[in-house]
Amino acid sequence: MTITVTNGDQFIATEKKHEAYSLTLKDESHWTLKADYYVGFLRGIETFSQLFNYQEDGKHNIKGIPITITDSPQFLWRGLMIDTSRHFLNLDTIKHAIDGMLYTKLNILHWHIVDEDSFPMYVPDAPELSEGGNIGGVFSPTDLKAVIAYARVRGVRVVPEIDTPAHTESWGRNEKYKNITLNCNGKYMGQFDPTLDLTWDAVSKVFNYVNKTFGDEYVHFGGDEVVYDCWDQRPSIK
Amino acid sequence: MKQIIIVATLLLASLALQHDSDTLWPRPANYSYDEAGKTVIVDPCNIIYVVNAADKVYVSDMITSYLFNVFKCK
Repeated sequence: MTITVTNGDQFIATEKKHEAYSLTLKDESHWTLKADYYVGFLRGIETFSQLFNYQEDGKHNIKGIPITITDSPQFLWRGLMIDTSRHFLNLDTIKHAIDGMLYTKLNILHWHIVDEDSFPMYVPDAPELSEGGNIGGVFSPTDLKAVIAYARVRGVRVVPEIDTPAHTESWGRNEKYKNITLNCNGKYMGQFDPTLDLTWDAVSKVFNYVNKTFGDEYVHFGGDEVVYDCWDQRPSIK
Repeated sequence: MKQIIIVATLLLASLALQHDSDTLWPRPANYSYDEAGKTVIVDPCNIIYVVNAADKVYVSDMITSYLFNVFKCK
């Protein structure tokens, strides 16, 4: 089988054409896979693998030759979200999920990494956040880079989500930052006090770290379930 | 009447899927094959890959990954 990839350096699709490929099985021995970009090759090799039928005798066959396939995605953004705050996932599990994304041609890992329940991300400039906020484990900078690198080779882009300003109780489970979140009278778990300099100090440190580490064009800010009444409980905000 | 329409819809959908492919997912944008064409017995572990790419390492590594992880080649 001859595989031709014109540009080897496009690992992440930012345009639909990046994932385009053509696959031709002309006869029993002349098979070609062509892609302009590496990530297109990934989609093509996956399709090629799906052409194989498993026989009861343990052998494989491919039916219907000659076969011609030209393909590109209908949607550029095809995501899977994982939530490592509510349920910590170890690196092997995350990599396993990324493998599954490769096999199903999904291309965005939306990593809901931090939420009210836990803060499982070590931030070098604010280590207190994960020291008090983790419940099952903490992702080191090396861990994050390992996931990003593993995903990249599989044509998967990692977009982090840091849910704010609500859903932030876990940020305050340490002595230093204990006052930056409000408990919202039990309605929701944590909401930033935007009047404190310390809140902005924590937010700046976290987002600077996330921007630097993930290096993606997008960071998801969450932004859901903000309860305005929650801010009434502190006169300085009200 | 409603039941007939549901059954007919399911039948048509089923036939459409059969025509396109029952193995490829997601379905490629354009896929043509010969229903009366050849069926080739092939060992996925013994295919010779010729790679023409600017950066062969990643392509070759991914092929190797498929051989081991998908086709369970030894």
